[in-house]
Amino acid sequence: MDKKKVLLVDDSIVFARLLQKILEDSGLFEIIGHAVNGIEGIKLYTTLKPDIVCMDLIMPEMDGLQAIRTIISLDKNAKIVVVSSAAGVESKVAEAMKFGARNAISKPLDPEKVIEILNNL
Amino acid sequence: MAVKFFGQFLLEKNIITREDLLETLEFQKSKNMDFGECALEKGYITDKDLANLKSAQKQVDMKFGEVAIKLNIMTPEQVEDVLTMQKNNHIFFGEALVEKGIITSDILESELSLFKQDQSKYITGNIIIPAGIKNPDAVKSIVDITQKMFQRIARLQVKVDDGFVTDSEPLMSFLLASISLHGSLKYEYALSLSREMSAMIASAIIGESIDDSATEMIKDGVKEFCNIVCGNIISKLSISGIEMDLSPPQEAVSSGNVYNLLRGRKAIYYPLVSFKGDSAALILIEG
Repeated sequence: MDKKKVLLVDDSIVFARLLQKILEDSGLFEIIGHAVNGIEGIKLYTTLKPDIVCMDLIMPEMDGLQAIRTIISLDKNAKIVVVSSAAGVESKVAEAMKFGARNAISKPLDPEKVIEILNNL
Repeated sequence: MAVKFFGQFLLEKNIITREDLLETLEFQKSKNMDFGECALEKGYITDKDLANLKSAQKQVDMKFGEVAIKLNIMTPEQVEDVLTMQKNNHIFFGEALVEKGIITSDILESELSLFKQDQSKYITGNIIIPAGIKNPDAVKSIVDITQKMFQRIARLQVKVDDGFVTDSEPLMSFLLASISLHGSLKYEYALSLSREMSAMIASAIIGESIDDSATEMIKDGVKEFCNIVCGNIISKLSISGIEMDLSPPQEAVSSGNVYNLLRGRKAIYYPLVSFKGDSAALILIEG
């Protein structure tokens, strides 16, 4: 089975490295790019065409909510999952879902939950 | 006068050396099994259960045993049995010093009594809010979550000293990371940390040891830690109907060896002391 291609959008290099490790260790996913803000995330989405986007919400330049809205306007079938420390705030998650995010994962991560959610997209 | 651990108290009084302290901490660590290790030894859980429980515990404000019961991994009787095993096998720092022959039982008894006297006003989990602070419950939640996240994410046990209000800029440190919290309430949240504590936090975030020379990586890890702490703070406050948002973490700038964080505003300072005696500070600026 082909590995699902994942784009990470998170301003923390350290956190992206952790998420990359969790996903790649599962043998189910391949990280094809890492953007550090929403603008870069949109650019990489259009050039790399990932199967899944893991999107942080709190980022400089352009936040995750705006990036989700733009990516969905370009590709209504985009599979975006919010991975954010603010994912415990109901209103934030509701907004992200409204813009087209498929699910939300809180930081700190539960690795098994991450794999399960991404695998079920 | 500050929050201290017994080892730090003895160190300050030159009753033990720093080497004694570190050696004894290691010795104590090797003797005191945590809940998961005990449950494993008893055969109540598997390695996989342990990993699942550790992950699950990061998500909720519950003790390890409570999570194990909630997830139907252990029965209440098994949890009780493990807690008894832990209690029976536990060795305190002072006892470890005696066992290693660093101090005598008589000295332990007299110093312990003096230590208790010295620390009588500090009770773990008892967060003191300075008089005149608006929204004391929110401040208490912010400090409480910060302390818990040090333990949960960074595996660093820190004690919180009494909070006090000042308009003085923080002392220069390896890193002063700040995040703006805004919405129903407005605060600037900042953590001042030593290089050693920063490296420990960053390594815990990434799940592997970070080279001490990788300064930017360490700073990035600490900023992410602040982001996670503040994300959890606004999540908790949102349950009480306090809706807040947060900005990306930043490193505070300084000029001429003075930080420019408060800029004349007043802040609540909470000194934090780690198990090994490293100090840090949580700084909360209102408005």
